[in-house]
Amino acid sequence: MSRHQYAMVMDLNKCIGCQTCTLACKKQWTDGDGMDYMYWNNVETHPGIGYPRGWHTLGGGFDEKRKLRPSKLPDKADYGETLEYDYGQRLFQGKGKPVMPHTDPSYTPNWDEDVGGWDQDNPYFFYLPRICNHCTHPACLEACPRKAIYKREEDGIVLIDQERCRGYRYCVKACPYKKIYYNEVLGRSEKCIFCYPRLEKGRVNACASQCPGRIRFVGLLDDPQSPVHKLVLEHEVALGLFPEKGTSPNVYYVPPFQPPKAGHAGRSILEDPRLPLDYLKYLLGPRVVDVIERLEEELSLAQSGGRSEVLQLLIGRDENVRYRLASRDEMGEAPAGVEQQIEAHEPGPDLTLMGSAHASPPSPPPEARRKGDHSSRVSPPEKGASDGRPPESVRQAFGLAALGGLAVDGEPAPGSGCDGCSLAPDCASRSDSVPREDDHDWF
Amino acid sequence: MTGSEKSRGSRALARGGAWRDLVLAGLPMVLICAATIASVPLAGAAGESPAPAEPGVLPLSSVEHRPSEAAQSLRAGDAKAWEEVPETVLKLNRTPPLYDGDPMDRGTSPPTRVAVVRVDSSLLLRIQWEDDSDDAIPPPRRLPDVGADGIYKQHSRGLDQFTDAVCVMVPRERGPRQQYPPLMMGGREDPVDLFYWHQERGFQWLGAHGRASTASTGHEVEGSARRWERGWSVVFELTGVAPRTPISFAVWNGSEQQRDGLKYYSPWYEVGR
Repeated sequence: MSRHQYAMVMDLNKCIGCQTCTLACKKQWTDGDGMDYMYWNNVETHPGIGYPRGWHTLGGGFDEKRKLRPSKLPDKADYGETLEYDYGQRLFQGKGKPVMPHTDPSYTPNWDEDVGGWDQDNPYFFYLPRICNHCTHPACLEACPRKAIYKREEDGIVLIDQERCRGYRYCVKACPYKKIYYNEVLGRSEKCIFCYPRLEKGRVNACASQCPGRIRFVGLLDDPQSPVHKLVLEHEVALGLFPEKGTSPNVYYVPPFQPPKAGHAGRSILEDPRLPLDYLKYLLGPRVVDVIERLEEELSLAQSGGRSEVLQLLIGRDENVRYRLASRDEMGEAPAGVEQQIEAHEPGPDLTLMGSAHASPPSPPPEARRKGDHSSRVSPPEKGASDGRPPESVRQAFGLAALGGLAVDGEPAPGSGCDGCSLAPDCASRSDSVPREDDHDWF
Repeated sequence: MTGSEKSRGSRALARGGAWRDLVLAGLPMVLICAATIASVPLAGAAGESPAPAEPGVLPLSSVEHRPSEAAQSLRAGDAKAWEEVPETVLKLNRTPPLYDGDPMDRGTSPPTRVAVVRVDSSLLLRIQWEDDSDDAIPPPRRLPDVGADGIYKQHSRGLDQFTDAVCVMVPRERGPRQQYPPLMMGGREDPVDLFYWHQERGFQWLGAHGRASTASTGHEVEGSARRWERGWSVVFELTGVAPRTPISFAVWNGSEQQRDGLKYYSPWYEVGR
């Protein structure tokens, strides 16, 4: 295990989907040859298919026995075609034709922006920015037969050794978040590097630095003074994506619970949620209900004149509040007890080699880890969540509009009210497409 | 015996003697031809090779020498230049699947033949194998954008595709030996040289000292590759490969998602004299 762990928290209540972070990362890192389709940082609308499309149903990660779960390798169509625009004809040749993409796309990154879901004529969605999670137990590291992927001991950042990588792409298949990208020109795989060259110079990640919404918090998880430690371990208001994948991600999300639904009028978010709790549980695990409840309590405290450290943190007006970076010289040993706190928070089995079965199954999370015992409100994971496919209630909850028109049997889900949308042509073409060996019903 | 009978007999004997002389004169040539036919293995004959020098050794067919003038056409893989060169049919096996989802071994391997010639100090190997699919990744398409350079010179296409490849493995320490290096990319005490052709990346000279240790040596290897009607024909030009040097081969079929250890491989052979 690394001596320290950099982590990031993103407050999904503040993300406005402006994609400034996406472009900051793009201009900083991925404007080279073979990187045209790569978005190490991307922002997607949820409920939605995401980027690459259907990534959260493609597999990867670990199963209950700590074996690498099989996954499909996304193709270029899953990442979206790189579009070309002939600006010259309009700007310099005076032809006056509209500047349109050179081909009629059926999918591109952020294709289903703002589509989301429907609930009795009320649309709902939220934005989900994603980067590599620099997991504590990276599946990509396990999968690489050349040991080309390593986790830095000093800060837990996961990197790919470009000298050792030969582009076999087992890591791309293993990553449950599909955040490793193959560079066809170089013949190697590449990924988010957590802007470690910037961190080493005392500058925060490009995506965080440029974010106008001030949604990102960066620091060492084991530093009690850092905002990520306080939000994740002390106040426990931030959760990782898909905890059942078994990789222990180190990018955490404050779940979206604001703004409330129209006509909220004093009802609890949990009684009348704007976003289906089933979907939030699908993304962030069953603990999301507890977290939302705690956030509501903190909001009520602040609204009634009290002082909420959680809200003061989340407002994050100041860079000093949002970021706490440590220089390499300052990275001594973590304070006593913090490592146990991290372990207690993220129960994770030891790494195994080449997907071999672990001797004993992972230990369950402790029952009472915070003030007051809310464990009675934690609902068990829904059936079907462990195999990487969304549970049936999730499929039904957010209907077809966000999903491109596909349901389990290829027919529109009952009660979805789908009258067809811009994605409808893609529904038909998707089901008629050339079947792949392990084609998934990705919604 | 009467005089006429004698003369008839003498004439018969004279005629028979002429035939006998002819037969006797031609006998050495017949014997030479018979020996030559017996010594050259038939191309394409499955599994037939010259008798091994020692038990357990798999020799490649005897190495013929060619003049320097033939080097260029041999190196280019010219079919006519390689026409008369005897070939060895390789025994290939598929490695077992490493991960869930890797394709299973179907029990077949691509028919593969190797021909070897020496030209001056070089050893030229031509490896021909059958592969119905040309697994080249289609080149990206770009539109001209008058007035500005695109940020990306080409668009990615084959992100989930793998291409065809072939590799020749010889120990870094050439020459005959009692024990062959470990077949899995050599060993720490017995490294190997890997002469590798990849359909997209071309020819590479790699080295390894065990599994997962493959790395570039920084040197270059010459060769040529071309499609023939049923597969690939790749020529490598190696130097310093003494007779009886162990040699092994591997072939990858990109359309079967083969890469890394997922491949068809041969046991150790020995380069002929």
